[in-house]
Amino acid sequence: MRVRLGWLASGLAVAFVLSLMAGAHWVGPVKVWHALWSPSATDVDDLLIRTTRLTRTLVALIVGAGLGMAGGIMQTLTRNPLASPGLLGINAGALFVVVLLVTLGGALPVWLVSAGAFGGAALAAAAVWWIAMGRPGQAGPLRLILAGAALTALFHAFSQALLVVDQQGLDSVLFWLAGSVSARPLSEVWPLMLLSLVALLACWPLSGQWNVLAAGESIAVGAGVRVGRLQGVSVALIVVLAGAAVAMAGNIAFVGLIVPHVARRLTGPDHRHWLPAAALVGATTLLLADIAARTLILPGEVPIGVMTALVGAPLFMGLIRRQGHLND
Amino acid sequence: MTTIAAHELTLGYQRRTILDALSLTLPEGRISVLVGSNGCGKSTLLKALARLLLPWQGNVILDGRDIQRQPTRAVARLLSLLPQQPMAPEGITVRQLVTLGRHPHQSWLAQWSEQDERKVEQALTRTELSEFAERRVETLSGGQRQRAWIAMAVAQDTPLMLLDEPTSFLDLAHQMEVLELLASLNRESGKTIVMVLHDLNLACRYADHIVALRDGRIHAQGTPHEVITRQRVKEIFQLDCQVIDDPYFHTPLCIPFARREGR
Repeated sequence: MRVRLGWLASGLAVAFVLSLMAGAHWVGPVKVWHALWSPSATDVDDLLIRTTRLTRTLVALIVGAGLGMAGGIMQTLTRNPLASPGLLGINAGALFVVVLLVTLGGALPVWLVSAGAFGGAALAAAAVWWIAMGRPGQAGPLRLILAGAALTALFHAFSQALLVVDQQGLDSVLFWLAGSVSARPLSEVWPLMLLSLVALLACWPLSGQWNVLAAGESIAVGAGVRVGRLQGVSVALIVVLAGAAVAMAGNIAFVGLIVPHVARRLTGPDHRHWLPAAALVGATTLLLADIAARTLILPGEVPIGVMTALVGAPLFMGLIRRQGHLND
Repeated sequence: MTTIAAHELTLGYQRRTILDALSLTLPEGRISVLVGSNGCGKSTLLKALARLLLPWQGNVILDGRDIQRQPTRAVARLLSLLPQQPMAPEGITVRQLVTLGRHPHQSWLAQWSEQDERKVEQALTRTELSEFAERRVETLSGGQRQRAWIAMAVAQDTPLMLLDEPTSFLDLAHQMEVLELLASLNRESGKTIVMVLHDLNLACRYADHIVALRDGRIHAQGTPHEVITRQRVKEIFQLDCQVIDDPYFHTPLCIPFARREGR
């Protein structure tokens, strides 16, 4: 398993370098090395790499890792292989707050809109969790999914109503709908990156408990897991990881859904290997998607969320057809 | 040794009371079987004993102290639970499943140890699953799968085991296999076993102590001979039957009649 994680890490490193090289103007690997370690203040390539490319590369890396990890946790929490962080209403909540802010305030500072998106994600997830809980200790997976679907529909309805009233707002929220890792300078996204990084590391010591929870709540209680507390912590981590992702890069589809499956194929169901693999695969996937997004239709760019959906949706359909035991 | 008892236990779902001020002490080092008709509260009682359900009133006493006031990890070192129809995570191997049983014995300070490794191996051997250790749980037969879950409980290494209908959905041969395994765990390791069973005759064969529930109360308890009589079975299940002596094992053998044709 260590070997496989090593391979995945190497793959990520390659994708990282490739992401710094690729674009309308390609830069060689040696030049990339120089730009990173001994940049010249006047060289255009160095400047290009150190500003826009490094930023979007880091954003793609963190967002991808966060979505992969959050998706894995979500699938364990709901015991549903087709669950994704979006089911907690995270994307819908973030989008609603963004639309609300843009409609009310017009040209607001980007950090405020990002903070709003994160807040909306957290609010939606908290509401879904509260509805699904019902009585203490009763947050069954099915209730969670149903509550998430209901709240997602509600938030989307609000968002659409606001956009119909204020059509100018549509342009400013397009970025959130389609997803992008290139719209932000590093100076504005670093707090969210840091938050994600902390959450990613915080997942490590919980792996053993998730392994037990995956066998069912009764089994987990029997084996001495504090199930209610673990579920609460899991939801909080999903909110931070997926909420920060949507606040940094907008709505990026399918990564949180597909990546955990791919990772699980590679490592098996042990969370101590599976979740790190999901983070690595997620980061690599989003880097590759971003490279494709900015090189496919030069000089234009495909929104990265569209890229991930183009690749992710067919994979997902294949997955549904192959899953024989979904009726269990 | 470890004792478990219920004291004036009242609980239910929503507003419906299932158990009504039920008190019960289960004999240590013995096999106790809870019997009763569907909906009589036997599974609820087992879940309450395993702290899966919070009592409305009264308490479950584990080793002289309220189970709800003890750290759940400490409880898990005394008491293991096999719920009804557990579902193994997709792709998990038998060894990985059995390893989960060691969870309450691990902590930040005490990571995976040789002792843990040994207990897992012992549990696999004990349940005759060593050769299947690397197989995926979903590829096993129903009986083997149930043995794998029991192996997890065995690896948990608790003096007390609670099992909710461990033989449901198994054919007769596999039912016997599971019950024989539990009987040998009781005999050789002195484990206290408490389980819910539907088959009265198998209950009589394997139980030292039978607790018959009716409408959330204990209707009768004692040895199989004391509890499983024609009159009692009629009261517990509203079913006419004849109880004879099992010619082979000399435990009560219940021959049921259809409800209408009572004789």
